[in-house]
Amino acid sequence: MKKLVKAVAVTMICALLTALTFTLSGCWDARELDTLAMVTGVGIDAIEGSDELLFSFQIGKVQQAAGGSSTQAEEKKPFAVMQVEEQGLMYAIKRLRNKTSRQLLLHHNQVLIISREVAERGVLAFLDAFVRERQMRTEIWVIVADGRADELLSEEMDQEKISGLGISIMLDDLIKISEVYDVQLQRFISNVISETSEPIAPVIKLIKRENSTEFSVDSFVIFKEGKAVGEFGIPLSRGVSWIKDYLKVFTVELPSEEGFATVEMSNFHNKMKADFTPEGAPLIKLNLKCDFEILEIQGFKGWNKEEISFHLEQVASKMIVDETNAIVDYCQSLDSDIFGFGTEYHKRHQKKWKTMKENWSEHFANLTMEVDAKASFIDEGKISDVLENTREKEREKK
Amino acid sequence: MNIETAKISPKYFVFSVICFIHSSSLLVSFFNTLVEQDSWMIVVFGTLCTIPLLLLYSWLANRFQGKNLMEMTTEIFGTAIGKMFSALYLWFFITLTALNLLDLTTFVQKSMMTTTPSIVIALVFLFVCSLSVRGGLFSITKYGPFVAILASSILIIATILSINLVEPDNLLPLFDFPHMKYMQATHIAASIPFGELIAFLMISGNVKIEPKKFKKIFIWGLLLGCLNLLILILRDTMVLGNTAKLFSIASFEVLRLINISDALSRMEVLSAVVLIMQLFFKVSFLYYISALGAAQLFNLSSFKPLIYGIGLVVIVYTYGLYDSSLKHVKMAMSVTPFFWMLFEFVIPIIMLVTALARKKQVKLPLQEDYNI
Repeated sequence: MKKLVKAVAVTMICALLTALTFTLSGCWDARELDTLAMVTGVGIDAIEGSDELLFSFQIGKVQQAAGGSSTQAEEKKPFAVMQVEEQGLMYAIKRLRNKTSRQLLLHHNQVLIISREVAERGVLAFLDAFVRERQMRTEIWVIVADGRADELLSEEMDQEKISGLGISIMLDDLIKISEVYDVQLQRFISNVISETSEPIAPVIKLIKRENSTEFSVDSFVIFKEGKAVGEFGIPLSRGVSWIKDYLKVFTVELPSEEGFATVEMSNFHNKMKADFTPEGAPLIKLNLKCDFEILEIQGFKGWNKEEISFHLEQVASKMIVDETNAIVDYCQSLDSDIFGFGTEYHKRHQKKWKTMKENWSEHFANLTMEVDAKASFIDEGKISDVLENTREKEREKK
Repeated sequence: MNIETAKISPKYFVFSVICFIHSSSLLVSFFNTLVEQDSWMIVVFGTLCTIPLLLLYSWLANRFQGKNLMEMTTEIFGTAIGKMFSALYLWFFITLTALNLLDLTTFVQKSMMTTTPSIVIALVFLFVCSLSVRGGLFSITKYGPFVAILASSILIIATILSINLVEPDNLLPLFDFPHMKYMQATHIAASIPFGELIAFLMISGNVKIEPKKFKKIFIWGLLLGCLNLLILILRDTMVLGNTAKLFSIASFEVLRLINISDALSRMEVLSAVVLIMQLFFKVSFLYYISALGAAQLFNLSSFKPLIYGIGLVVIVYTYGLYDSSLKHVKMAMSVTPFFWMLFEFVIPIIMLVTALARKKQVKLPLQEDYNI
């Protein structure tokens, strides 16, 4: 009898737990795909003559993105852009709830696009919500639009139709193969809250052609106290990468009067030392090393391959030094320490930092650089000589 | 007399201590805002400060062999004063249960089930814990090795996967804050997660080990648990840098950042699962010793009739503790560490002095099934 009671009790508890699993889990937090609006990109634009901002939410439509079969579906864009004017993000989301039958899901957001005008006004205030809100992820890209943010979100890309996803995929690829480096929200915020460091963000330009639309990353914006104060192009962005050791692999044309060479640079090694000059001014010593292989070569008439490789090593090393000095000069003129030099002094010279931090701007302006760069030639591709010089060399032999 | 007759092996005891310490990863936010990148040092300092406490607890366990904390107080102070101390400890254990239940409820509601009323989460969770408590000491501690090994494995795997995000420079500069902040943070760490190990004195009499060797397994448990916590804090600081202090659960953010070729990403769910399992163990254990303590206080022959009653008290208590997480953190950083010292240091010291003065001790004959 006792065993029977125990068996009944256990069965009832199991039944209760099973019932709870199916009922309680579905009561409050049930989220079906057809009740959600998945945000794939958030854009922020300025409104003329107003302190409010125009928040744009790109919402992916699952059926169209996956290739719906109906003709109507093919004509429509695979996303919708919803907009609302508000001072803060979270209230904007609340107001959007009144305009849509679906709940905004921010877990899948890929990009935060800020218009250039908003970047110049300042970004610190509205970034709070992007870190505070639990749905938000800190690995989203922070991008400045060369123009309006909602234009970027409203355009389709050639391959990936939803531009929010497309931009994210494009940037993910670019950081592996080019001079573009990742500026995800976590890194951006880290610089924003740092004592002296300042963040940067890539600028995306929309180029409309007759039959297509291109999204291009050609420059970066420099911030100072949360406001965009300057911009630099790809050559100078390499300078930032040399200092911050962001680069993985990239292709570059080496300028030379004697010829022309396209090389792929890789295996980057960076050593930075925060030091002082004999007068006590900050001195950054940089030791940079990398390897390169030749992808294409033209000119260099009468040169043998040893001469060419030695010359290219010299050119590449000089290019590294020049680009590094150029970007530091430019940032010094803007008084924006995007390299984290101040943080480096804080970490390595704690005692001196206590006196330096009060007037870091002054120290940064007087900072000098010592760059020692060495680019090493490692591979020449399938052929060892310059093709256009081969005939001449054959004639010389005969 | 001890109404729990089950005996557990030292292995289960060690894993239980590891699990208890590791489940305190949520409480790192109590001190990481104070010393930021130096939080890892606080784990080391806290551990060093806790070792003498564990030696004190082990001395009591050795002096009063086969007895648990409640019985020790009665042995040392006599029935009347002993029961008074027992009542204080009962309140302490019920408070710890309620606080940990509050942590769990807040975590689940804020991170995953945002619209589910927290009372439902607390009720369902505590109901499952009560099933575990009904099984007694063996049922609860048997779960310890599984949770401890799983949590440690996930910690190591996640740390390896985040290796490309790690920047060791983020640990610099060292000792960048005023000395008082290190003292305050160490005090918080030593009293809130680590000093709570006094709860294990409630089961010290149920471990199949030679009483003299009890301190060895206690300290091993502490060291291994703290090692887990240390790895976790070091990883979080090296990955998140100065942003680690912004997040209440930094490891959750670190696992969000892991992305291995798009194949392994959005791994924060692992962090959530592990945390819930660890808190299930911790709440069950504290719930069990609360029920056991209450039964001993009222001279009952079994703690089982009290399980649901204590559960209801814990639920009500949880909702009366703090109005907001801000107040919870503020209290944990200011008042709680001093208050907890009463239970973790002052009373045990009084017990030690009184036991020596009154020459009180209980010795058991050496048993054959002791093992280590």
